[in-house]
Amino acid sequence: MFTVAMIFIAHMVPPLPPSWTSAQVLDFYTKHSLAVRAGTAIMMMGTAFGFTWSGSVAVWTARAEGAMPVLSFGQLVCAAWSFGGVYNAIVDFSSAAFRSDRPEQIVSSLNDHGWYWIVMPGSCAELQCILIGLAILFDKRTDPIFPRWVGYFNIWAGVLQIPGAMMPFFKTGPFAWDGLFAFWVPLVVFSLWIYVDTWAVLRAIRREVTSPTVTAGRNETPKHPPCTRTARRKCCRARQGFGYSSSAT
Amino acid sequence: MLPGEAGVWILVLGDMIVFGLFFVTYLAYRAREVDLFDRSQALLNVQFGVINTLLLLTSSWLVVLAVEAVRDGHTRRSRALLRGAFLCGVCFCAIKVVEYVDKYHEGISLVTNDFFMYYFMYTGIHLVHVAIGLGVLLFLIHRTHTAAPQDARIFESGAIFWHMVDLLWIMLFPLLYLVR
Repeated sequence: MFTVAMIFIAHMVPPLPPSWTSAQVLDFYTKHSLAVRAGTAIMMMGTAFGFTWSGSVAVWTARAEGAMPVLSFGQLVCAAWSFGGVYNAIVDFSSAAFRSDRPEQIVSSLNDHGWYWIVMPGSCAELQCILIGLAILFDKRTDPIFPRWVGYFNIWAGVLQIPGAMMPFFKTGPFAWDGLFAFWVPLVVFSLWIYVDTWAVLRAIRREVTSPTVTAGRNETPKHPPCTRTARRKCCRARQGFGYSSSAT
Repeated sequence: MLPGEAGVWILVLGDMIVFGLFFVTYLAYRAREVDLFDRSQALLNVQFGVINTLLLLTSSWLVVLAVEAVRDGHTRRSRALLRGAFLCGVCFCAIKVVEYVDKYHEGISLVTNDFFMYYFMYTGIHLVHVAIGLGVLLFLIHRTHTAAPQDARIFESGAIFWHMVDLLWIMLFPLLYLVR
């Protein structure tokens, strides 16, 4: 829904080039005033699902982490900014189109502001991906909740969002906000990321439904000694660092 | 059999695809302004580049020895080797920072021209990879306290990432410093 609205209704893909003059930007918003407002309204509703999506990923990574789901909580807060950034961008685009009879500098600065919000929260998106990845990799079950490659994939997706942070320095070229490495590569990676993580969560849910014992229970390796109260406390203490408990056997 | 975990190869190959894209883009832009790129390239300090290449190659070699040591059950030896590799990585970062500051004092930054945009962006992104790799090495050093020979897989996975960081530099160095 978001993608369709962004590309076909709001005319936002490919992005408005940062090298445009204020007059060109004003011209765009005057010409597409209605389309931008309609498109952004739909994008807004689509973005809201980004928050619930992050919540559902967090529930499952929290289970993978066990008693101390630090990474999952961190991921959720980052999600508020990575999807929230997109949300702010939509507000900017919509308000630029709202009164396109304003002076061109005002419209173009709203437009700049919007594209900043699209690209810059990449820093939060990057950390969000990496935290999900680490939570998956630190799952010590013999049959982990998420396949381990999904963890590595998330870290890869996170690292690739880094170049976006440098976009204020460039108005043209691959690192500008409409460039290959600040926009197109992160866009492709982001789409893949949503797809892979959704698949992994659905897989976890399906496994929960068909065989609850696989995913249930706490983050423990079967190597552990029988869980008397003191032994359990010892396991927990050993896990507190980053969940490595092989020494506790 | 594939060394390390299968999953780590997704990260490594995925990253190498994107760096491949970096290299192609660089060559495409360079072809448009060969003169400017050559003149700018002459301002780089090749000695720093060579020292950094040697540092990363050495650290990769130390990591190889460390993985072997873990397989043989010599965890203390492995820890010492990994610490050596870590130190090489830190020196790499230090030299890179000296190089950046040096350029900054000469009045050159990432907005000077297209060549320096690529130089600063690519080496900067690579530097982030080095930082992540150093984190991985620290984790492995920590792991040597409890490692047994059957844990060698974790060390292989970490080593693969560090070798990738090394390999990317081996590609970047001639591309930015030497291609004429």
